Amino acid sequence: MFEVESIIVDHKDVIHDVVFDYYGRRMATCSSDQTVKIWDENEQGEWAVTSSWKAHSGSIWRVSWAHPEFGQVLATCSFDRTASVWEEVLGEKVGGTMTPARRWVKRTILVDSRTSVTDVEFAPKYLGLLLATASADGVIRIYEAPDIMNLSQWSVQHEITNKLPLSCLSWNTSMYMLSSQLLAAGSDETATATGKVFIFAYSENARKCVKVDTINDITDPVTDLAFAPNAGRSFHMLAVASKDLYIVNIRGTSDATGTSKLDIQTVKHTDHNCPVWRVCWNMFATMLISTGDDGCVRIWRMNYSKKWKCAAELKADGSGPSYEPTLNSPSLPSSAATTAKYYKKGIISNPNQVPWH
Amino acid sequence: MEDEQIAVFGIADPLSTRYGNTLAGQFVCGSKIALHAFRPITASTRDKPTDYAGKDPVKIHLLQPEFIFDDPILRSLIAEANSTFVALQSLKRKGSKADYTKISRTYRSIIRACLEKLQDAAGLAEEASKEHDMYQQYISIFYSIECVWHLSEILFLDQTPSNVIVPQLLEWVRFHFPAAERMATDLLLMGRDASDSEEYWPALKGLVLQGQVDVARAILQSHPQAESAAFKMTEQILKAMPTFNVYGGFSIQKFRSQWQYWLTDTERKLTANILAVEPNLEELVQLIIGDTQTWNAHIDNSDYWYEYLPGYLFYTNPACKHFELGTAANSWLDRWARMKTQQGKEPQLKHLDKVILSLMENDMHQVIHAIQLMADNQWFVTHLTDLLYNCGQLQVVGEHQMNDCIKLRDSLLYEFGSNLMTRNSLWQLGMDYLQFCSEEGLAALELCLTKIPIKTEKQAMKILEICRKMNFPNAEQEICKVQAKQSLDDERYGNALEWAIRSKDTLYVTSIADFLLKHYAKTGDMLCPDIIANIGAKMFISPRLVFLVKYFDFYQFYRKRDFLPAAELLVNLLDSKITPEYFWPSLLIDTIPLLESKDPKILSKETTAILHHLESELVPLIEKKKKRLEKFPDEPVNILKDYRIENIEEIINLLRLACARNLSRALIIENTLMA
Repeated sequence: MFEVESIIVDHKDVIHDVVFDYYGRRMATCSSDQTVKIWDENEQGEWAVTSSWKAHSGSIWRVSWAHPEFGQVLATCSFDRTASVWEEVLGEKVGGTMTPARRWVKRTILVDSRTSVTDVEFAPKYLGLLLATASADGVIRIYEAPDIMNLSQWSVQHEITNKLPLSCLSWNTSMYMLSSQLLAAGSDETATATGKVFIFAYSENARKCVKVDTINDITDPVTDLAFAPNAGRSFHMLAVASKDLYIVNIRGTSDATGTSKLDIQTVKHTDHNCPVWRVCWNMFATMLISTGDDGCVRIWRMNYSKKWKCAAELKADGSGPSYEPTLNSPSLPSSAATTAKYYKKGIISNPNQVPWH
Repeated sequence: MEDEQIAVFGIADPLSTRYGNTLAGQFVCGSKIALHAFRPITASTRDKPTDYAGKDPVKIHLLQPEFIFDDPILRSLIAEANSTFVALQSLKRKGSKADYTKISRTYRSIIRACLEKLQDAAGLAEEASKEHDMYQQYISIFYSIECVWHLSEILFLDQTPSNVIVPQLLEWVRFHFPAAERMATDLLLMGRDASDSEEYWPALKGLVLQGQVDVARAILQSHPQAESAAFKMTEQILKAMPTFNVYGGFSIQKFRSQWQYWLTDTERKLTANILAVEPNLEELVQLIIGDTQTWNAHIDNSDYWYEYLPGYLFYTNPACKHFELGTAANSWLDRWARMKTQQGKEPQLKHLDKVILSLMENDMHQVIHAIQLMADNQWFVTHLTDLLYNCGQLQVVGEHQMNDCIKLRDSLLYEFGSNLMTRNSLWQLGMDYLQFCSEEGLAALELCLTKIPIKTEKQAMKILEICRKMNFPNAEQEICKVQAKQSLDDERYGNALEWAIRSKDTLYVTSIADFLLKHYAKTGDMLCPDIIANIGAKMFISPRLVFLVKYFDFYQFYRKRDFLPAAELLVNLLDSKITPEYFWPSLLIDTIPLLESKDPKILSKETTAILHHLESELVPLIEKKKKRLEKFPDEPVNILKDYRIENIEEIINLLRLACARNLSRALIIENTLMA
C-alpha cells in the first residue's frame, strides 16, 4: 500500500519528463508548454516549485541533472533542435538581510543538430563534465566542458553518425572493468527490421567513440532505454522499452588474443503485451518501472536468483478519487517463489482477527 | 514458479484518460515513485499544443510504500534488534546451539517489550482514533511475528536431543493462549472459595486442554467436595496417568504399554458411570483419554486451528517427533475444518494460520514466502532468515539445489538494509545490514553514503569518518567535492578551498585555485586570505595551489611593504615554471612597482631574468594570440580577455622600460658596492 501525495504542477500541457536530482530532493519537470520547472522538497516532505522558465521554443523532450559535484546544473533538449545547459546561481542580493534568491541562467545553447534533439544525458562523473545528445537524424554528439568552473564553454568531443534516427540514449555509470565506457542508444525507426539498440565505446586506437555492437534481438522501434546503476555487479543491465520490455545483460569478455567483446543476453518480458514507452531503474537496480501503452505502470523486482518478475501494477483511474487498491486479494500460492510483495499491504486482511490474548 | 496474483493499484488522474490512461513512472529515491500522465511522442509527432492543453490539471503523484518504523516505539524495536543482529554476526556461524537460542530469545524479548509498549500506547490513544487503529494494527503485526518466531525457535533452534516436541508445543500454546493459566492463578489464590467462581470449570477444562494436568489437580483439591467419591476417583485417575518423559528412562514401548493399561482401566471406569454424578469431572477425564466426541465439542469453541493441537498430541501421541508434526497437524486441521463446516461456519485460514501450518510442515520456502507479507517492511523475514542461516538451519532448496540459502539471506539483508539507508533517520542502522551481505552490499553501502543529503558540516564530517573507516575513498572524495562546489556556489570560497583540499583530487583543487587566481587577476581582490595563509604543506596536492599560496605570500610581503623578500619571492615565482598562462600578465605587472623603486629591490641578475621571462613567455604568448585573433576574429581569446590588445602592448613597453631602468640602477649600485 502506498501513501500518495499529488501535486498540481501548473504546467500548461503534458509533461514529458520528470527527473530527480542525485539525492531525490529536487525535481525538474519539462513539458510541451516549453517550460522547465524546478521543485524542492522541504523538511516536511512537501514539494514546492522554486523556479520556472521558458527554456525552448518547442516541446521539451528531456531533462538531465549533472552530478552535484559540478553544481546545480541541468540540461534540456527540445523539438526546437537545440539542447541547453542551465546553472543555478546566487542572484543579486535584494535588500540587506534577505537571503539572495537563486535563479537559473542559460550557460550554453548547443545548436549543432539539424533535427529535433530527442535525448540528453550527462555522463557519469568519472568521465568529467560530459553531455551526450541524440537527435532524430541519427547523430550522437558528446560535448565536454573542459573547465568545470566555466559552463559556458562546451566543445564537441565526439560525433557519431548512425543510419537510423535516434530516440534515446543512456550512459553506463558503472566503472566495472574496461567495458564500462559504454553508451547505448535506441532508434524508433519503424520501416526496417534491423537491430534498434546500439552500443558505443571509446576506442583507444581510433581515439574516438565507435559503435561496438548492435542488439539484433530487438528489431521493433525503441522509445527508451536505461543502463542500470551498478552497485557491485560484475555485469551491466540495460532496460529497453520497445514493443515489449527487454532486460539486456551485458558482460565484457576478452578472448585469448586479448580483444574484448561483449556477451549480450536479452530477456523479453511480455507482460504489457503492447508497446512500452519508458523504463526507469531504482538506485540499486533491484527494481524497474516500465510504462506501457496498456495504461499500466509495472514495477518489477529482482528476486534472489536474479530473475525479474512483475511485483505490482499501477493503473490510471480517471473516474474516482480513490487510491485504494482495486484488487488486492492476497493469495498464497503453493509455489516456492520468494518474490517479495513489497507494495502489498499486510496480508493480514483484517488485523482485528489476529489473536491477541 | 507459478504465476501469482499481482497487486494492482489505481491512481486517479483525469488527464491520463485523455491519452489512453497512460501513466509514466519514475523512481525518486529508495522506493518512492513519481507518476504522471504520459503522452507518447516521437520525432515525427507534430509539435503543437495538445487538445487538452490548459484544460485538465497536470499532476504528479508521489507514491511512497508504507513504512512503519518512523513510529518511535517501532524505531526502538528496530534499533535494539539491530544490535542483536550485529551480535549474531560476530558469532561468524560458529556459535553453539545455546548461543543461537539466546539470540533468538533476545529477539523475542525485544518484540515482547515492543508489544507491551504498543499496548500502552494503544490504551492511551483515543478509542477509534486513527492513532488507536494504527497501534492496533502494529500490535496484530508484531503479535503474529512473536507467535511465529516462538514456534520457529522451538522447531529449529531449541530442539531436544530426541526431537520430541510436544512439551515445547504445549509451552507455546500456553504462552499464546494464557487465559486458562491466568484463571487458574486466580482460583488458586481464592483457595476454598474457588469453586464458587464462574471460571472454575472453564479454567479446569482449559488447563486440561493445554496438558496442564498437575495444575488441574491442585485446583480440584480446593473444591469443597474434594473428599467425595467422584473427586477422589478423578484424582486417582489423574495421579495414575503415566506421563512420557524423554529423560525418564522409559522406552517409548514401555510407556505405550503403561498408557494402554491405564487407558483401558480409565475407560472401564467411565463406562461404569462412576463419574456420571459430576458431568464436569467426567468431561475432564474424557479429554484426557482423548475422547473424540469431547474434543470435537471443544473444537467448536476454538477460533484457531492450532490452539488445542498440542494438548491433543500430549494425550494421544506424546512422543511425536518433529518430522511427524506435519502429518499430525494436517489431520488435526482437517478435523478442525470438518467440525467448523458442520457447524455451518466457513473454516477460513488466515495468514498467520497458514504460516503456522507451513512451519509445522517444515516447508521453509513457503514460510519465508509468507512471512514477507507481514506488513512489517521485511523486518521479520530478514532477521529470522538470517538467524536460521547463521545457525545452519536454513534449508531452502532452490532451482539449482545449491547455494540458494546464502543468496536468499543476502538478498533479504540487501533489500532491508538499502531500504533503511534511504530513510533519513535510519541510515546508520541500515549500514549494518549492508555490511554483512556480500560485495554487492558494500557497493550499495558506498552508493548510499554519497546519497545522504548533507545539511551541516558536522554531518558531512560524520559521514566522511564512516567512509574512512569503511575504506571508501571514492565516496569520500565525492562528498568532499560536492561540499566544495556547494560552498563555491554559496560564495563561501574559503570553505570551498578547504573541502577541495580534503577531497585530495588534484584536478578539482586546481580548478578552484584557478578560480581564485582568475578572480584576483580580474579584480585585484584576493578571496579567502585567511584560508590561503594557513594551507601549509597541504598545498603540494596541486602545483596550481602551490602557486596560489606562494603568490599570496608575495602579496602579503608586498602589502606589508616588505619589498626585499617580496622581490625575491616574485623572481622565484617567475622562475618556477608553475605560473598558469593566464596569470603571466598579472605577475609581470606586479614587478613594475618593484622595478621602478628608487632604491633597487631587485638585483641585476634577477632583472635580467624578468626581462628574459617577458621576452620568452609573455611576448610569444601574445604573438600567438594575435595570430589566432587574425585568423578567427570572432573568437574570444581567453588569456587576453581582461586586457585589451593595445593595453597589453603598453604594459609590455612599460615593463621593458622598467627593467631597463632598474637594471641600470642595480648595475651602478652593485658595481659601486663591489668596488
